[in-house]
Amino acid sequence: MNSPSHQQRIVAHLASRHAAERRFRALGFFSVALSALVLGFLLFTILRDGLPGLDWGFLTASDATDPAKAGIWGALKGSMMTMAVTLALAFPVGVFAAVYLEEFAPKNRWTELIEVSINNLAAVPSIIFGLLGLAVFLALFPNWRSAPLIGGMTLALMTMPVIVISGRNAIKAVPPSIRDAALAIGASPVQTVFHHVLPLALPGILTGTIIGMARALGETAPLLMIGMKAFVATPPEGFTSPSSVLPVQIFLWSDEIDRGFVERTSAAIIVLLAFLLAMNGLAIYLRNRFENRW
Amino acid sequence: MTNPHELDPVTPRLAARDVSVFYGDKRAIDNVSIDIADEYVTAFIGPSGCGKSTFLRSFNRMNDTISGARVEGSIALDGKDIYTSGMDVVQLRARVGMVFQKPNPFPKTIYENVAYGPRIHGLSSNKAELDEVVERSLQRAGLWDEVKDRLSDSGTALSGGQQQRLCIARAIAVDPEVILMDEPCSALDPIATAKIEELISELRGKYAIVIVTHSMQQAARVSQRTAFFHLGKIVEYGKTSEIFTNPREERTKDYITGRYG
Ligand SMILES: Nc1ncnc2c1ncn2[C@@H]1O[C@H](COP(=O)(O)OP(=O)(O)O)[C@@H](O)[C@H]1O
Ligand SMILES: [Mg+2]
Repeated sequence: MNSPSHQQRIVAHLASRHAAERRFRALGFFSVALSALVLGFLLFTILRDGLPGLDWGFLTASDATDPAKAGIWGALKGSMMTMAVTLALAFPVGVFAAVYLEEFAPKNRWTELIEVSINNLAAVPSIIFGLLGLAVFLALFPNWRSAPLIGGMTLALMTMPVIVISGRNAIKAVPPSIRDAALAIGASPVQTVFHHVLPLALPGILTGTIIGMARALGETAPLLMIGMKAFVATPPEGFTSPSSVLPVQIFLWSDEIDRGFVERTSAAIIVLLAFLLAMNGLAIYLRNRFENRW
Repeated sequence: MTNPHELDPVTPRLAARDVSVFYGDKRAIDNVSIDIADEYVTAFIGPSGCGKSTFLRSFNRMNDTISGARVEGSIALDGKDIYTSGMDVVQLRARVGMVFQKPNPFPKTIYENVAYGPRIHGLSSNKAELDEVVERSLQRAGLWDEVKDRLSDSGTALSGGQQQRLCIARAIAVDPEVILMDEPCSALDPIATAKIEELISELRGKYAIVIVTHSMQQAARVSQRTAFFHLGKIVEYGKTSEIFTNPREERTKDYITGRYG
């Protein structure tokens, strides 16, 4: 085994192994640097164009025909309300669906069909959900055109499957020994899930939720379909009043010919990014809190 | 096999009659009958895959949680069949506790681990009572002195042996009649193993204890009754001392002398 020639072989091999190691590291570093560069450039141009216009007036005013008076508050409030509706609908439904499918559903053709459907739903282009919102929600509630409630319901349709899928994965990752422990001490299946499985799966569920919500926040196409593209000069008063949302506002401003709107557009993008970061921050905070409980 | 009644003129806590357990079409336990009494620690030994765990899990109906698993025959706890529809599994598992092969404390505090059972079964009406149950259970499990100053630490932060004793404390906390242990020491070092064995001897008499073990020495040390399983059947059941010194069956002798397994 340890003859000199044996050792020599290992040594001869060593150089190429180290080289492969270095190549991989270089490749990895290059990839990271490239994405950081692109992101940096994007951020730089947006901040350069947008920061000058990002003042209190911009944050508190709503849309106007005069770019100097146009502000983001209406769209920001609209986005917050829309997201609240999306979260309130998609999170509980998604989590319960995930729990049911993973822990309780019998394994038969029907549940298999539901599984496949949900997986496909997550891959459906968002504009299709817009069509659905238009055909179903707006047909049922024609007076709520452009309302955060309808927008939130439409976005909930596309966020729910994401939460179901990530929720199921998070639930699946909880070790079976924990379920055994709970059941063996006499916990009912529902107690086992709510006392033990869900708390352990929650960090993963929250991560999936935030990914789904972030996608929904940036979504424009389905909201255009349900009419959230009108000029709305006042912030929405309630969930059923007409409203704009951040990405649509950005889309509309970027289409304006007036030069003054270029700055507005960039400033609005900054607000959208800040909203996104705040949402992510909240999710990370919640996740850490739940992880630290044990 | 021997009629256990002749062996032990005591009322059995658990009485299994013609029990067969299936996984799908596969028969893992084949027409097994046995009586288990409070007074003794009963050991199940036999080569791996012979169905010891399967049989053990049929005493607290943990086989119900495995899809495709099916139990035939009857198992009576205090004379009442646990496989009738009138038996509530939740209640059954409060009466028949279980300790698993790999220590599996909840990823919660030490206190919570022990308090969980009494809490869900509504066994203590206030915090002081619960505190008392937790302390008593940890004391019985021989863990109190080691953890009394850090009850709010995570149960998973303990050593393997301590975790297993925590699991025993968790099972004791609901004051069961029977404690099932499935190779409770197989993941532990010799010192931790010795502590668990000592603990089992102390618990003897307070609970009917059934322990699956792959270690013949362990069976000899902790048990008074031993059942030797082979291919889903009980080959021999009797006093531990007799099984190990003077087995009646050739297959038992082969196994305990290390000819196979
Ligand atoms: N969940 C299961 N599904 C299907 N077969 C199983 C399952 N658990 C155990 N078995 C089979 O049942 C037999 C007995 O297993 P087990 O009770 O674990 O044996 P032991 O504990 O004596 O090693 C083995 O052949 C095993 O492959
Ligand atoms: Mg086993």
